[in-house]
Amino acid sequence: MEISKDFFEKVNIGQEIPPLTKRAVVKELFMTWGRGKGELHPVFGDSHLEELDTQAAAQAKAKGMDAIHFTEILPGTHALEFISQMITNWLPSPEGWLFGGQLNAKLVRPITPDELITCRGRVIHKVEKEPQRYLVCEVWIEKETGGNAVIGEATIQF
Amino acid sequence: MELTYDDVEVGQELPILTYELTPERVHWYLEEAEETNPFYSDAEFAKRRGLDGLVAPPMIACMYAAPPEILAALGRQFPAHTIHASAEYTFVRPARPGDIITSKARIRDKYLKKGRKYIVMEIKSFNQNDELILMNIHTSVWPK
Repeated sequence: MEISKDFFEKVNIGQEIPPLTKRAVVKELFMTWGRGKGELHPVFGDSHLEELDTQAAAQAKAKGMDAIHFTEILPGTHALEFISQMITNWLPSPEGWLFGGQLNAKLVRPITPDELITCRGRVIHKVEKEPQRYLVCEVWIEKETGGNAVIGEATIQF
Repeated sequence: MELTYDDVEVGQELPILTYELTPERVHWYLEEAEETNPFYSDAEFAKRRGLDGLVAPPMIACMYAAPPEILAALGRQFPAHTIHASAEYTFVRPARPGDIITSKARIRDKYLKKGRKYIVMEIKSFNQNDELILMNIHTSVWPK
């Protein structure tokens, strides 16, 4: 797309991606990201609704779920979703991310419920070897309590 | 029942997961991820920006075919304190509302490093046209 071509030509190595700040609302995310009836996920521990007497259990019942999964940390995949959002917010068209984008990340520290996290990134390589044109960006997630939760690289095709 | 490091073998195929990516599921996902980018909710906006219609966020396929679901389909679970160490995603093409997503997983590798046990799972997700949507290489540290 012309808009993406123009964006690629103007982007510079060292350029920062506009940061994205999120609050890690863990329990609600886990309940409603499509994990519906009967789906238990024992990685972080599991509880049946009938054993619970909490607001979360009432919310789950109202959504038609018969199982709920509590977790003490934000699942890694959820954190990486936020990096993906940061990138698509930055791009004028998401084509280069949706078609051929790559995200390689290490999860180095846990993110705790309700913690404020900030996704950041910067361009570290700009490759133009016809027919290939792509950007490589360093990406990371900073924790409110200090240190990085995630470090990695994202590749965006143009 | 827990699946331990010794229970898996490199090359082992894991249960295939199939689900429908209904518009409702996409809507829940967008809501809970606080994803407000109009590419995913406004078909006309998406078309103006070079897409041929609504698409789903690229990570959505990971959410509904993550390793815990795959192990649950096997009737097993991760041991407590299993750590998701790293991920390598290739977003080949986006999923779309209404797609039927089929995810096929296998054990790609297992190894010991600095006294820790690592298992690498490879998960490929396809749409109903057998087109690859996502490649997910998921590495975990297993406590046992």
